[in-house]
Amino acid sequence: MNWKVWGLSKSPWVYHVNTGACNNCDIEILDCLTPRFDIERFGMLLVPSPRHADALLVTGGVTRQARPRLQEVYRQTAKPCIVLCVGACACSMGIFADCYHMAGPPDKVIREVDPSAIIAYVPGCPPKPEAIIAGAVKGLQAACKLLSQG
Amino acid sequence: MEEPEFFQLFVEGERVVDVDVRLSYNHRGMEKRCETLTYDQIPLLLARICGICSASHPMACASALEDLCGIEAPPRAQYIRSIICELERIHSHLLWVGLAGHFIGYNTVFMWAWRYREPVLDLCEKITGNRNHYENFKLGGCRRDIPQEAIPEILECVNAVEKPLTMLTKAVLDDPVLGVRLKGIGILSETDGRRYCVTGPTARGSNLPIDVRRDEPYAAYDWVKWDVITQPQGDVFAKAVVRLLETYESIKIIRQCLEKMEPGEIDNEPRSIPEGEGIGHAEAPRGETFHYVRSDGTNYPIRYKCRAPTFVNLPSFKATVVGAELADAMLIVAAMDPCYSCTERMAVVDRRRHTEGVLTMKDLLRMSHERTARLIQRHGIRSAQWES
Amino acid sequence: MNRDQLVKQIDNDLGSKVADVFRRNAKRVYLTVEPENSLAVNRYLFEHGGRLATATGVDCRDWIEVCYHYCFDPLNVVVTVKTRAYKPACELDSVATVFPGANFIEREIQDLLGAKFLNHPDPRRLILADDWPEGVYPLRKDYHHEAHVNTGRAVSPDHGRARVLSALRRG
Repeated sequence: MNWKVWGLSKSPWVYHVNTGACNNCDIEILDCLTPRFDIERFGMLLVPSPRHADALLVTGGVTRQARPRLQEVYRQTAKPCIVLCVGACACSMGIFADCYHMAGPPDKVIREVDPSAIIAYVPGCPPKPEAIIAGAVKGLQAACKLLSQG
Repeated sequence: MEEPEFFQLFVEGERVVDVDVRLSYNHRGMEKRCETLTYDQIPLLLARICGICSASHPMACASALEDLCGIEAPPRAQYIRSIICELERIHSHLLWVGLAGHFIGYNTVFMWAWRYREPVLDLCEKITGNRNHYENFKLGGCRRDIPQEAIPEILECVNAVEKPLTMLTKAVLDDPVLGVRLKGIGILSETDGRRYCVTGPTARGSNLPIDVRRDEPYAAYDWVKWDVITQPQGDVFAKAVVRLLETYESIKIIRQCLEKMEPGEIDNEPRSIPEGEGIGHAEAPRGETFHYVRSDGTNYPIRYKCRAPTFVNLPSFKATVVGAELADAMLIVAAMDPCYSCTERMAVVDRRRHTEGVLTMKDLLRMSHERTARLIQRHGIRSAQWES
Repeated sequence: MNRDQLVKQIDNDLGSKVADVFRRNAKRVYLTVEPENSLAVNRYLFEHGGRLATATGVDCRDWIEVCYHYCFDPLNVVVTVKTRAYKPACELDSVATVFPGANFIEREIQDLLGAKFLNHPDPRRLILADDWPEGVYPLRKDYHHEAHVNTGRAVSPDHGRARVLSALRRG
């Protein structure tokens, strides 16, 4: 396996971006850091800059104002970078699909800048921390498999 | 936790001389969406205005619709509403205490506070089906009952939260580092509080005794005994004290509700909505949520207005952040407990040097931690908590 | 003072400035006020202990109705001032000149409904995106979602289906 991909699968560093969420998914993501779930023991860290990120955790459907910011954040991440859409709004905009200020779900917005972006989905409203961790692990494993296949 | 708001701080050296904010990143268009939903669906949407006021917005919605229809929910439903709202208040205040600790550099407080939130969230899941979005409030009552067999478990959980709460309260109130860091910072005077129409702990920390639960009692709040907590100083420390002491009151309210709750109906099942207007408000952990509905007698509202407490509390930053040091700016904003707890970034414009830079979360946290370290050194404080 | 005394006092002091006083129930009072008297009535309520909770704008075809909601917390009553910003000008005097709590509240109505608040200290856009077209007010009843969609906006297949469903629901 490519050493970059191997590094990605072992202790991914994660950057979190909220593009229009109600904050519940954000709270559950932060919960993953707290003593009950404690993802830091697996080497998963929340990093303050997208340039250090192996994975991007996106919450919320993308509002019109947030759309260029999300695309900019994605451009700044070092590739390969896996996008994890956390929550129903990030997966498909959910109940906000009809709203006038929404620009689209994160996967469509990111595919505008990178059609071959690797995107995984963690549904839930909000997904429990166990679901987020499981989703992150599965997503990363699947992504690493994809990347090593070239 | 980053919710994307964009603050612009104008500084001269290290002192903030003006502040501005750009909202819009989270604007989803809820009010317009409500016009295409039935009155039964609206509370489910409104819970998602804010993840952690997800009981308060549906509560205000149910109040507004009941005001419109001129009905009241049955007594058991009122008790259930109070219990869920107070459980939300407990875990929301614990969340805030944790984040405040994190901003200052007390990561231990952050970890402890969030660790002790978990049993409360588990309890919410057992009673309502979800850790956060409860989906329990509707026009006319509640959707799900609390089974009588669950009551001893609820009491056990609530009693178990009291001990760690006391530990956290002592950690905050007695700690010398937190005292020098939080006292005298971001003072909102009573007069300014009135002029900015603030609500919630932001108001009660500035000697304004506003609490919707007491002023316009809803749910079961006038059937149980509890106190409104106020503090006169108006600084960040006062707001922390208000939140911590309120959590004890929440525990008191839950115990009394469980004791007084009688078996009975939980839903009046109203069948028609008349033409007219309704107003409902509830006390969220952050302040007053205010809802207004206008109906023309059909299944959909003509207009639904929902106002979150942060929208009225946030403008008061003009009175509290201006004049403060840059390292304190994030803490003062966080003291309002906005529906986002920190900003993704702040832009700092130095008017004297005509430069503009963007500070990330990492920069702001570093500045805040450095300030704490300087204060500890200046005051010669030895604190075991800090050294750990 | 109690609620009834407050309502009587408002009636006495404001007199002809208030066109109608409607007590919907014990805790809800609605004052109908002509636009030229809106500032005076708002100032009176604020100075006599009212806290502006929020203001609601409603598109009523020929005017934008603006309802300022004042909570008198110790008296357990909400007094709403209903006034009109007649189209096409949609102008009203800004209450933010009296107290800063009305600043963001009026800016929101301006963005979403197009009511103009005269002498507002800071009438910039607040909650719509930077690239949202000028002159398009989403909460107006004649707002057409599809007509104002930015061509750069990503639309998922589910979104299209959701829009069709909600159009059907609206009849």
